[in-house]
Parts: sequence; C-alpha cells; structure tokens
Amino acid sequence: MRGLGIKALIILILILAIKTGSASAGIYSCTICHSNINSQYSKSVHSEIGTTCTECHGGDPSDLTFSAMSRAKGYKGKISRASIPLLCAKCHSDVKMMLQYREYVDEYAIYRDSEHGKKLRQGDYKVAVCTDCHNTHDIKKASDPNSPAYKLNVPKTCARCHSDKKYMEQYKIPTNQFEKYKESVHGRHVLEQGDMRAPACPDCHGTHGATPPGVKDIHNVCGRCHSVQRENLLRSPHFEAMKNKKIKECAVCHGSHGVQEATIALFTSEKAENGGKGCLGCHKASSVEYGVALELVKTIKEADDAVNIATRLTQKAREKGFDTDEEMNKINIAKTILLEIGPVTHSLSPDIVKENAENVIINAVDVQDMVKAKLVEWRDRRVTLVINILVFLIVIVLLAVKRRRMMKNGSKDMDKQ
Amino acid sequence: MKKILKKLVDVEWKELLKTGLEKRFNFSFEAQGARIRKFLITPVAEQFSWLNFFGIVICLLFVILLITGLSLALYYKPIADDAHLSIKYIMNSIPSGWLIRSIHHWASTLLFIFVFLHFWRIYFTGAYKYPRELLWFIGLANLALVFLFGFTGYLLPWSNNSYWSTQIMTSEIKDIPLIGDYIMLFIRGGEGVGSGTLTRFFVSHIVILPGLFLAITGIHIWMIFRQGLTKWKSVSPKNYRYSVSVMLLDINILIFVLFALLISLSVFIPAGLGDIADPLRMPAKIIPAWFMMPIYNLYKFFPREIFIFNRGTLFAMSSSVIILLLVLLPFLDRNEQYNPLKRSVIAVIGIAGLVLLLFLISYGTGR
Amino acid sequence: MPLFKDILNRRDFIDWLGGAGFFVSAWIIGKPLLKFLFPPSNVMEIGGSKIAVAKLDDIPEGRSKTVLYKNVPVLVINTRAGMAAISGVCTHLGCYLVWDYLKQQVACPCHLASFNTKGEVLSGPPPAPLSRYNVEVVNGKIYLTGFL
Repeated sequence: MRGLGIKALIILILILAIKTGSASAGIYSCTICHSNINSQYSKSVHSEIGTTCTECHGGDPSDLTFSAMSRAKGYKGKISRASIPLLCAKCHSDVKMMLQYREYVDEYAIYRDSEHGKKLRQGDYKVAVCTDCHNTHDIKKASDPNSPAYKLNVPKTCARCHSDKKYMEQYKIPTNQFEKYKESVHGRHVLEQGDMRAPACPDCHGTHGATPPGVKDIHNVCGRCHSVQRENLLRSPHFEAMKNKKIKECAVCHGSHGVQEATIALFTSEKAENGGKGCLGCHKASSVEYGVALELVKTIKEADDAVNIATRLTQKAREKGFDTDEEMNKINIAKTILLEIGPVTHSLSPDIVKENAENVIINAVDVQDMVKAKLVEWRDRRVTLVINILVFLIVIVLLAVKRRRMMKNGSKDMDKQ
Repeated sequence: MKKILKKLVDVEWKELLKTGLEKRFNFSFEAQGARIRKFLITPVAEQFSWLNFFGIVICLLFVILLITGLSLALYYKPIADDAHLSIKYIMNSIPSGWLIRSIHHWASTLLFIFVFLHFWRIYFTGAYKYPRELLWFIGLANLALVFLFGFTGYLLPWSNNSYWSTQIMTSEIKDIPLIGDYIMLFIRGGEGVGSGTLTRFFVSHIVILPGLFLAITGIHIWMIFRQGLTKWKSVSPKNYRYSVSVMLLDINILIFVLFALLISLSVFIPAGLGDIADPLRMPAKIIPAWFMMPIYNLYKFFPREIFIFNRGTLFAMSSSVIILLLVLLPFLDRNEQYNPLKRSVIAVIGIAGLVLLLFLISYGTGR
Repeated sequence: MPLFKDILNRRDFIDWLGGAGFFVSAWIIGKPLLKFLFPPSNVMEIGGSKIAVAKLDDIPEGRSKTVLYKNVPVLVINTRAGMAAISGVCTHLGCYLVWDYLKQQVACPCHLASFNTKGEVLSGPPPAPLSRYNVEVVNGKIYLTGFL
C-alpha cells in the first residue's frame, strides 16, 4: 500500500509539474515547490539567457523527490552572505562566458579592494554584497529602470544601509548623506527631475569599488564634469595651498553631498547653506585674499547687472510691439560668455575674470543701445501721434462748423429748386 | 524771337485747354458743372440716418486696405520662409513700414466689425424685403468675399500660428461629403499647406478677391442708387436740409475720424508677428483668426458621429441649411412691416443669432 | 494766395484754416506713405534664401561673429581659407558656441567641447557635428544661402 501511495504522489507531482511553469525546457523540480521564487526569477535577466537554479544552488532538478536537494547532488542551499561575491564571480569574472554578453568582468576584482570588500574579508557580514544592490532572484540589468542598481534608484539603494543610524552605529561615519543629497542640486536633478546627467552615488564613489575619494583627489572627481572649474583651480593659489594643508578642495567651499548651486554670496560669507565655507570661513576680512574676493564680486556684479539691464530693456521693447530677435541673440551671446565667469573665478585672478566680464559687458551694452534707440523711436511715435490727432481734431471741428453753416443756409438753395 | 515769346504769353492757356477738351470729347464744362451743382443740393432721402453710414465706412475702409495692401505688396515675398522674413523686414527696416502694416491690420479688423454691423442693420430694418431681394444676395456674396479676404490674408505672414490654423481649417473642409477632397486640393494647391497654398492665397488676396469685390460692390451701390433707401421708419419732412453736399461733408469727417482711430491703434497696438512657420512643430495653442472662431467653434460643438453621418457631414448639412435660410430670407419674410420693434419673430431670431455669434467668437482659445 | 487782411472776417478765416488743415492732413498721411515706397539704400537685402547677415568689415581675419539666420544663431568665421559658417548652437546641450581666437577653434563654454571650422567635433561631449551653411561674399557683404 505504501508503494501505491508513493506512486500516487509521483503522479500528483507529475500533474503539478506539467501545470506549473518550468525554469527551462523539460521538468524542473525546484519550481514545483518554490513557485513564488520562480515567478520572481522568470522576470530576471538570468532567466532570459537560460541560467537555471542549479547554476547557483546546485542540486538535481530532474529528481522529483526531496533527494533533489541533497549534498551528494551538489545542493548548496541558501548561499551565505560571505560566499555570495565569489559565487557571482564564478561567471561574472569569466571572460569567455561574459564576452558574448559584452559585460565587464572586473567587478569582483574591484569589489575586493573596496571598503565593502575589505570589511567582508575581515569577517564583517553587515556590509553590502552583490545581492544587496542587485537583488537575489529578480536581478535585472542595471540599465533597466526597475533595477535597484539603475542610476536614478541607486541613491535610495545605498541609503538602505547608509541612512540607517542603528545599522551604521559601529562604523562611526555620518548617516545623513542621503538626506543632504536629496536637498542638493545634484540630488534634485536625479531624484526629482530624473536627469541622468547629474551624478548619483556611484559617479563620485565608484560602483563596485565604493570608496570615498581621497582628499587630494576631489578636484579630479568633480572635474570629470566640471572641467573648466578644475582647469582654473589648477592654476590658482588655492591648489597648492589646499594640497599642503590637506584641505578638501572643492568640498570645503561647495560641500559634498549637500552641494547647492554656487552663488555670488559665497565670496562674502563665512558659512554656506550647502555645508561648505565661504571666503570668510578661512580668510580674515582684513586680509589681502579677501580683498581679491571683493574685487571679483565687483566684476561679476558689473557683468551680471549689465546683462540684467539689457534683458529688462529688451522685454520692455517687446511689450511695445517691437521685434527683438537681434537683441535676444546678442543677449544669448552675452549670457554664454557670462556662463564662463563662475568657472573662471576659480583661478582667483582678477585679470582673467575682468577679461571675461568685459566681453559680456560689450555685448550687453550693445543690446542696451539697440533697445534704447527703439524706445526713443517709441516716444517719437507717440509724440507724432499726438500732434497728428490734434491736427485731425482741428480739421474735424472746422468741418463741423462748416456743416452747421451748410445746414442753416443750404435750405435756401434747396427750396429754390 | 521776342515776337514768338509774346505770342506764347498772350495765349489764354486755361481757355485753350477747356475748349480743346470740350471739342474732342463732345461735352460742355458748363453743363456738367451745373449737373454736379444740382446733384450736390439734392436732398438725401428722409430716412437717412447714422445707421446708413455703415456701408459707407465699409467702402472707405476698403480703399484704405487697397492702398496699404498695394504698398505692402511692393515688399512682400510670397514664398514660404521668405514671406515671414520680408514682413519682419517691413516692420523693422522700412520707414513707416510698421505703420502701413498696422493700419492694414486694424483696417481689416474694423472692416469685419462694420460688415457685421451693416448686416445686422439690414436684417433688423428689413432692408432685404421686396424689391431689394437681389441686393440682399449680392450683399451676402460680399460677406463671403470679406471672409475669404480675411482667411487668405491670415496665412500670408507665414507665422507658425497662421500656418497651423490654416492647416486645421482646410482639413476640416475635407469632411464635406463627395466634393470635400477636391475643394481641399483646390484650396491648398497640394496635399498639405505649403508654398503652393501661399501662392494661391496671395493671388486670391490681391487679384481675384479685390476684382470680385469691386465688381460686386459696384453693382451693389448702383442698385442702391436705382432703388433708393428703404423706408423703414417714417420721418416727418419738416425743415429738411440734409443735402448730398452735407452728406459728403459727413463722409469727410468720417475719413478723418477713421484715420485718427487707425493711427492711434497702430501706434499703441502694432500688428504682431509670431515665430516663423515650422511644419515640424505644432504649437501647443493654435488660435485661428478671430473672425474664423464662430465657424471653428461651431465645428467643435458637433458630435463626432450621429448614425452614419460624421462631424464634417453634419456641419456641412447644418451650415447649408442656415445659408439657405439666410439667402431665402426675403422670400420667407414677405410682410410690409419694417420696424424691428413690431416684428418680434425676426427680432428674437436676430438677437439670439447675435448672442450666439458673440459667444462663439469668444469661446476657448483654440486646440 | 489770399492776403491775410482779405480773410479777416470769421467765415473766410475758418475756410482758410480748413484748407490749411487739409494740406497738413494730406502731408501727415502722405509723407509716411511716400517714405515707405522709397526703400533706404543702406539696409540689407532679402533675396530668396540668400540673406545678407553681416558686412565684410565687421569680421576681421581670424575673428568671428554670431548672426541670426532665419532666427537661428550661426557662427560666421573669417578663416585664412575663406569664410565659414556653422551652426552656433552646441549639439551637446544647446549652449551658444564661441570662437576661441587664440586656439582658432570653436569652443563651447559649458563642458569644454571644441569643434573645427568644418563643424567636426574635436573633443568633448557633443555627439554630433555642427551643420554648415553656404557663405557668399558679394560687394563687401556676407550672404548665407542655406545649408552647405
């Protein structure tokens, strides 16, 4: 009778196997019981390319009984955190295997030298391993917007640990990075506007080799995008001074995670709301250096004011019905040159900044002259109009007088005929 | 030498010219002068009032449009992108270009307003009744011509808004059953709105439509002279002194008032010019010309489909009915009553129509 | 021309004033119209798509000027090999381009892109080259006539 029971079980299992989906062609026993995992897995990129449960977990899928999960058949069970990186690397560091998918094969090597990798080797299992960022069964490509490793999702993924005070207590590093990043100009672009061009965590800290950049390397990290600022910083007195005093270069004035749009107020303030310092934060108000700052502020303000006046006047002319395309073109040219002024100030050289400002002002003043000529014409038009209307009114009044005269006298002629 | 000079000075040049012309063209200056003087002191009909000036203003505005339009046409280039640039050139670089163009723009707006006023005056005072049915038809033809003037003129600056509103309005024509496609092809000069359309519209606007308008208006005025003014109200002929010369003086005053109005509007609200037309970029808001809004909005109010009739067919059917009713109005309203206060049905329909028209013009701001 | 004392009575004075008013009004209306019909000689011409955008004197050799051609900014450069005209808008993120006189290259101040006078990308993030325009110099005036 027991034999009959087992046969019935096998038939039942066979029926179930045919009904449930399989991880690959043919009967796949894992999915009979682990159907919820299978529904997750079937959406993953691994399932698309035909990888199966056994590649990671071992075991014998053709065996419909519980002996499929025996050590003898190579079954590994739930993979421990410590062994996950090496397990993934089995394929992902295999050049021959990954070449067909055009994937990089250096993730594991880089990960080993990262903070996460080093701590893992020391026995700290709280650090991130592959599955913490890429998920376990429903792994999608990092370019898929549904993946936690997708650029716009990464800040939240990192924040899962790095914003958890209790979790990070033993490491003695701040946990406010994500909060600050959310308010920052970079964070607003990435998280609110979905702008792929702005940096998320990996763009500055690396992906698999996550490490905070060294103090003297910051200008190269920021400079990857902010190249003009970097070029100018390199030839400024700040560069050597910061190297010698181990000052955090860009971050000391602009902040790091909480960086905001730089404004002219940075020159004349002590502390900035981006978490950084203004000129007065290091230099005394009576110092030569602060004098340079004031000069730069004056030059920038001159250029900015010139462009603002030009824009305001052009708007006025447009409201009066004038065509302002030429003026807008010149204002755009002036604004383009003005765009460079922010980066160029990093050179701390009043001469260089003055040259830039002069070019801006030449164009802005041209626009002002063009618009002023138009506004003068506007005034002339109105004056001429008033004179013309007066003449017309006089003529109308005279005609009305003549009309009255004609109405009075005309009846005589009309009665005659 | 001196003798010849003396002979030249002694001759009475004015007399020579006068008799010379009289003999050659078989008329007499005296007689013609007397006729003109007699005409000038002829009294104008008693029922002539300020309401009768609408038609005269229309003629004045048309002359102004003709002169300004001809001047603009000397600089305008009727080719796709150049049209816009040439108008920009007129507005910016040519002395008084902005003034001539703005006068043309405002005169056309005033023309529409006065055409509407004239239409409603005729309608309410029953001036379409026997024997003036033919006048009514001709007047409706003029109304259609004025609409076509505005429609063709609106595309000429080749701005993005005018391009796309022309595209929309002409594609609505396609929905007319049977002949819709052919009409659209004829109007557009091609499959879509393009430089072919611009050429057609330009030629219509400055040659075909003015010629038709002048001819039809000429017939219209001749008929008015022949048939006289409608006696829609009785006026007791007391000390009546309104002669033709006084009317001409009034017209003179009107010309000055019109000019004052036109140049004031031109200085304070010059004619605008949007972006250049871009067939690849449809703007978010397309606003057809204001005088086209009634047709445009009315079209939108029709349901997309009733039974087997689609929106275009429904619109074509209902507008045909309305036009037919308008045209046949003199035959439907045959009584001798002219006073609008005593013709309640006509008055009610008229006021309802006016309210509807004003509503349709102001509703919405385009797609 | 009646002498002033001939028209001293009020009626004739009003008539004379009216006549003068008519003349002035005719002048008010006629003068703009006449001025309109005679185009100024020093203004740029518009002929087909051939549009005058600058005078040769405006652009010394080695320098450039950003002009508007059909409402699009175009960089006109006076190179040693002749005049070149390329689009004045960077293909990366749309900033206005400037001419770097020292390097004799087209540069974008936003992300340090550089192009040559043929519009080809020399360095930087722009993904595409700049469109080129056909330039003609006639009688000291520079004309653009559509794309090259």
